[in-house]
Amino acid sequence: MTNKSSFDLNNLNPLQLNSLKEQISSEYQKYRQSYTQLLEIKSLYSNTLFSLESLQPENLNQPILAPLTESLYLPGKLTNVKSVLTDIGTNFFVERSVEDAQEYFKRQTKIVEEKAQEVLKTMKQNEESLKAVNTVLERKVYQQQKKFVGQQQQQQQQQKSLKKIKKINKPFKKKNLFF
Amino acid sequence: MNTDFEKELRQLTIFQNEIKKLQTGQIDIVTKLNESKFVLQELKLLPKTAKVYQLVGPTLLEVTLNEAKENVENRLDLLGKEEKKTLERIKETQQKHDKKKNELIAFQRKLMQPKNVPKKK
Repeated sequence: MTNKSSFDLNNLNPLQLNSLKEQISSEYQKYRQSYTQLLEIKSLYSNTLFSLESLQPENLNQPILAPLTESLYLPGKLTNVKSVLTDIGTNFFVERSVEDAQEYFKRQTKIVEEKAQEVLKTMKQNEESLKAVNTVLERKVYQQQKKFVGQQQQQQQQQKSLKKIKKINKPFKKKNLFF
Repeated sequence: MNTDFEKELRQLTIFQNEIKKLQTGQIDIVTKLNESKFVLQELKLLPKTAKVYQLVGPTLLEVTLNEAKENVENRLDLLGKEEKKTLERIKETQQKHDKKKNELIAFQRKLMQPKNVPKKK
């Protein structure tokens, strides 16, 4: 990202600016994706925290429905309200008490929040650089258009002056014919 | 002359595609690396009495804390090595790609020159 500040945007022509603009906006999409993913993970953690709250000692031997498949459930009893298995990634699970698991998920939500904030920061920087590129691009396109219009006007004037010269030359030729 | 040019151009696009593939592969490796680092951090925070299980296929096996730590550390080593390899390969293909590009530019210049000669006549 810091490479872009090392050269001046004004030195680039509109084509290069356009490709830079596309690059920046594709990066922005990626950041946006990762931000939404982090928010999803955060809501997942809050859901697990909510379900952990139901694992209280008073709920021991309560009837539950355990899922076998997505549409098949099995009636059972809640026998363990003390320990849970938490997934820490790469196929590793750790047996913890309910309180430790709650602490673990609270810790994880903090980490995810911090990362989401970082991504937001880079997204804002990205937006700013995109704005800068856009303004320079617009200015250059406007300048080019002005040049083009100016050139067209010059050409029209030249054509007009040529026509005038032709008009002056023609009557002389006609007189010669009659002779 | 044009078919030679097309051949060289195709080579260039092949190099470009290879570089893209290697880069996506590298991103995968980096994400796996970060995940394993995370797991190791978590394992280090655990008390020695904690029970750790590992998912091997459809079975959940109990492993000791030290075993789990060793496993993850080995994985980190392997991933680090793989990352270095892919970075080197990316460098190599990038160099080849740049070389080809320069060759193509020189080739283009040669193609442009003979067109000027008949005009002079």
